[in-house]
Amino acid sequence: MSHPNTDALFDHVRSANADVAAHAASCSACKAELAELSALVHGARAIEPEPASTYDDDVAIALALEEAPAEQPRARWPYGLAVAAAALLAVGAWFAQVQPSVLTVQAVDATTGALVAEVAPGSVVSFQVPVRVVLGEGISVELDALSTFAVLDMNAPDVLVRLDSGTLHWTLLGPPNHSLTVTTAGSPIVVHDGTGQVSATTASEVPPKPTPRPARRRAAAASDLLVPTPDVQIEPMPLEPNVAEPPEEPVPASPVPAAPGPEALYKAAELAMADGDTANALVLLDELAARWPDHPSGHLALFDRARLIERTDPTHAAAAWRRYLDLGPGEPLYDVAEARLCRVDPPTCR
Amino acid sequence: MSLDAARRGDRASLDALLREHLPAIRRTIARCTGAGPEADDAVQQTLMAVVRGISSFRGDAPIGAWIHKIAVRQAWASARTRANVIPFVEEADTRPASGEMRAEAAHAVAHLNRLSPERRVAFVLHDVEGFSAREIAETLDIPEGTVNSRLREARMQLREALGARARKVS
Repeated sequence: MSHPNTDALFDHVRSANADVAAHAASCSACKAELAELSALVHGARAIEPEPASTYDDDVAIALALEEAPAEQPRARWPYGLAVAAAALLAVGAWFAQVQPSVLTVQAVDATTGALVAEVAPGSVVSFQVPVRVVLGEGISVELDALSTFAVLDMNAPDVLVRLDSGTLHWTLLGPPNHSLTVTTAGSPIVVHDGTGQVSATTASEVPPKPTPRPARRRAAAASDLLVPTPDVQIEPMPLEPNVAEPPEEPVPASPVPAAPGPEALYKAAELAMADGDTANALVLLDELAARWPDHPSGHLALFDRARLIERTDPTHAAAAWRRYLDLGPGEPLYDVAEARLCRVDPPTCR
Repeated sequence: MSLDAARRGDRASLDALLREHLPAIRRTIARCTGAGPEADDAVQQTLMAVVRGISSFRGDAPIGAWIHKIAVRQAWASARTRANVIPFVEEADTRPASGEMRAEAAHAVAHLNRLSPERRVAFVLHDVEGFSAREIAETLDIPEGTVNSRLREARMQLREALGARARKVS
């Protein structure tokens, strides 16, 4: 018998074949190869997933979500819509009552280093450029140009924006030289660069438009990928003469690389997740979801993002899962997200 | 545990049924998709699908086979969903096997991870779990010829990889 082909070898491993066995007995090469193939197949049969600590949860959630009587259609989370409507109403009501002062922050930082503004609860914040508000580590909300949101309640997980210890973090992705207008109920906006106070200003003290400055050097791998727009920095806007930071040493501007596509971005996020680099992964997933909200990878990014947040910041997990669920029941992972939401926020589980 | 009671929606029976089959579900999905969060998702989807569909289970086949089929379909759907979004790159998945896994299994996982989802599922179901090409075709709702060609591709890729390894070792 000539050397058996690939199928014959694998078939022999699966179910002994006398011809192949006889050949292998006299052919050391085939015998060695059969041993390799056999080890592979037996190894695959020996694959045992690690014992899950979530057995009870998995079963209970499946029962809870799927046990509804047939005549009752499954609820598909109109909840997010209700929250959004409530938030809009609240904003409208707030505007009707308050004549806010307008505070303008002239400069923005398009790198991953978020600016920090102390904004009082109940403030209404509006932006003239597309803005990504970063809510704590890795959690963000995308806002369209000229969008407005209300800081309704610092502790409620359902509002669009949650302040962290009275501090609102945001990262601007808009083009340079656009001003960021923050409208508050009267509290002055204080802007920091992450190390200390940079400026505070009011409507009567709107500073001149800044001139663009060279890009800051970036360290984070994620931010290296997220450079479709040139950076600009906070311009000092002192209320008092001594508040301004000393000017930074200019850094030579580097050419702006082409923005990665959704697949490249997702792959980078996947690698970051595999490396356990959650912070980078979240930045990349946020970016992906924001830039390609209608692309399947953008949807998948929302799912992975929620999963990461569930692991690293459980208090925000429910909101993250609802954001994915808001994509609608046609999503391939909708059921899983529903189960996850049920896990992190049991009262919402039927 | 009474299967009839589970089919009627008795919670305790359903609970017992799920718990009894959960290890097998997890094992099948781990073989088909690898370990990790995607596998956890597929497990969860399988459990939900079982609960959803148990009332329509006619008993034509053993309940274990019916559940296995659901698990394979969920694993397949999970792998395909991601593969559609992120085109499979053979070299991309370098995730190590679980530390607890036996060396032989870890070796197998390393090779399986290099197969595309389509080839992996065909190989696992046929050569590891022992299903026929026709059964796999029915489970995945694809032509039998497609199963055979994917199986052949998987086998050739694995054989080549093993041969390359053997050459490297020697």
